[in-house]
Amino acid sequence: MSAAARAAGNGGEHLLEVRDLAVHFTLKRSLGDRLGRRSGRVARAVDGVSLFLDRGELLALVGESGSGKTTLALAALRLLEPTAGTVLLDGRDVTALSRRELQPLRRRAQLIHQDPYAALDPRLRTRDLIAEALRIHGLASSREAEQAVVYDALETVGLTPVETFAERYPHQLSGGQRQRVAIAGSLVLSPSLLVADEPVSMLDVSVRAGILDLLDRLRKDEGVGILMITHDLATAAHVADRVAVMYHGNLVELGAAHTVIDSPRHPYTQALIYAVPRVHRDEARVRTLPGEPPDASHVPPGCRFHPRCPIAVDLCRVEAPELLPAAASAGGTLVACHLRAAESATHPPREETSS
Amino acid sequence: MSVLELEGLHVWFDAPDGRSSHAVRGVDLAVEAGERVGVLGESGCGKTTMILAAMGLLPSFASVGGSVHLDGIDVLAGGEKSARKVRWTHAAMVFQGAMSAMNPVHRIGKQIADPMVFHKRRSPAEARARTCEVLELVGLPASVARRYPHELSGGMRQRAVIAMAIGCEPRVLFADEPTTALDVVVQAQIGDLLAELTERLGLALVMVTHDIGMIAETAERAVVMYAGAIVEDGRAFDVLTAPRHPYTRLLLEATPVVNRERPLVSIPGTPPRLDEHISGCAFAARCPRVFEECAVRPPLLGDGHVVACHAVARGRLS
Repeated sequence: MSAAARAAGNGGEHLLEVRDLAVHFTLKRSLGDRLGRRSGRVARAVDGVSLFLDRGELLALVGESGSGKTTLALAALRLLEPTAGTVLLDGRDVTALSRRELQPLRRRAQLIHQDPYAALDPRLRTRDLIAEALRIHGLASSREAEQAVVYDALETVGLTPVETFAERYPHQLSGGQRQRVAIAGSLVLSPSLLVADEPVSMLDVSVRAGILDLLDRLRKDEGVGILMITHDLATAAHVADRVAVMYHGNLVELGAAHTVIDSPRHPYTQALIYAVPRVHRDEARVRTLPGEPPDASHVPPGCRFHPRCPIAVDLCRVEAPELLPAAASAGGTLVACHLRAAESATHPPREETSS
Repeated sequence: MSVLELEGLHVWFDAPDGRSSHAVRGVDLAVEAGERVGVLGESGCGKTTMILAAMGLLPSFASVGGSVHLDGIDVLAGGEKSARKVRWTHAAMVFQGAMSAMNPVHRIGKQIADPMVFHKRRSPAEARARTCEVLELVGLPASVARRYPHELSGGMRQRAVIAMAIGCEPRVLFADEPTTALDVVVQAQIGDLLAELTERLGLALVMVTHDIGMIAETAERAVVMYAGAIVEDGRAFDVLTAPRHPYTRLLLEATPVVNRERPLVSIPGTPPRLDEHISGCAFAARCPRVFEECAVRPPLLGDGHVVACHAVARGRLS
């Protein structure tokens, strides 16, 4: 079974399925490159990622800045053109569609941005901000119908009394209220997939819970699948069903949220979890991970984490590990680590099972 | 004697239209040498304004009341002149964005050495030697002195800014959200570095942050601010594990914690606007337990772990 097929689960149709997705950016050639007649370097932002998302599920995509989380999400929505791989939305390959064919699918998959201050046009009232998407997709038959949908969306995101909030401009709203307006703007299209890029990281802690609750309700009541990008493991632990950990353009661990957080298998995930500051800490603080976050244009050979890994062996410097079921883990976590996978190369390799 | 003493500190920002915002509303705070204090609160609660006032760094349209003593020197009395006397040599500041805290066109070494030349009257050679010393203290190789800020990663840049701050051997280090712009792994490294440095150099650290975990790991004492005033102050462990003020309790319940199963709550309402006149307890409008006496501003009461809440003082909250 290939890593892609394994990550995709046992067939069946997922809401979103990403197979071996890669996004490479060609960097501008530097003066040195030009003098030396070298071609420009390539930043491998996302390099062969496979995952799926079901209806009503919340998958948290976790990683440091520059690990490729946002690039992966944008490519999954085809807001960026993938270099390789396929993206299936409801079983339909969206990577092959033209712009025009893509348009009807756009309303099914919506993006919520990190910064609610920048995401809203300061010159539009809330009702126009929310109705804009309806108009673009030609979904409003009349002014009355439009207003009913807008009020309905405001009600859903908890901005009541709706008549008052509909007339407000963004500068009259707090950060949390703006994020609610942004979410309402996606909801009027009744999407089945929401990609939320750090939806609470710009907000004060006192209003974060409200936004997270709202996302949770959307998936439970409306069956919306949510891909949430975050660098905050504590938030992921609270709201996600599954967690996918990215490092340097690859998935390094993927599994049920509580399994990944309580018993992380990959040394990178372990370092990330130990690094989260906390009030109650049973064990003395484990040494923080040395080194710096990776640079997508310099891909080390072998496992991409090996220069910072505390347990790396010779094999790690040569051969890149595949995403495989983890050893000694209940709950079926997948891990990309030679030392932590059940069928690792340090043990005699098992027969490849064909399926 | 305390190395930093704020007494009855008030800060007003005067808008051109005559309105005035009351950003800091009467803060008393004494910090001892070698003490590590974390100041906690939502955006707009006056934490940053408070430490800017302590360094005499507020803009000209701000009016300040009360007094600030740094190392025994009255910072506010002599205007810019006395403020300049304490900056760098008695107190230094680490700002939030390490990217914008450095001058992009000068080498790191020059930027670390400059304050020593101007404020400590060191010779260029002495300053250079000391630069290598402080770079080593913050865990950077001496070769970093030859680099420009854009050549460093975010974490290295924040280390360089800290090196700059400790160059003139201040007694107090102010840090305004020192880790917010950094990744979680790097955040932990910088938190460890700040704690280690204050211990080794006997510095007092006043760290402003909204990250509760950061305070738990780095500070010994936690101060909670709300609407420009201190509402709770005590040992970090006590404040964070057994909070007494209703605001602190709600803030902790709103914070997601790894490895702990409990629902998150949000605090209803928003903090009062700074240009609003506040009479009585500023938190009363959002507080789940309001009593008659909350119409009068509560004093900070308690022994060691002090709280500004009538209900706590009367034993009405367990």
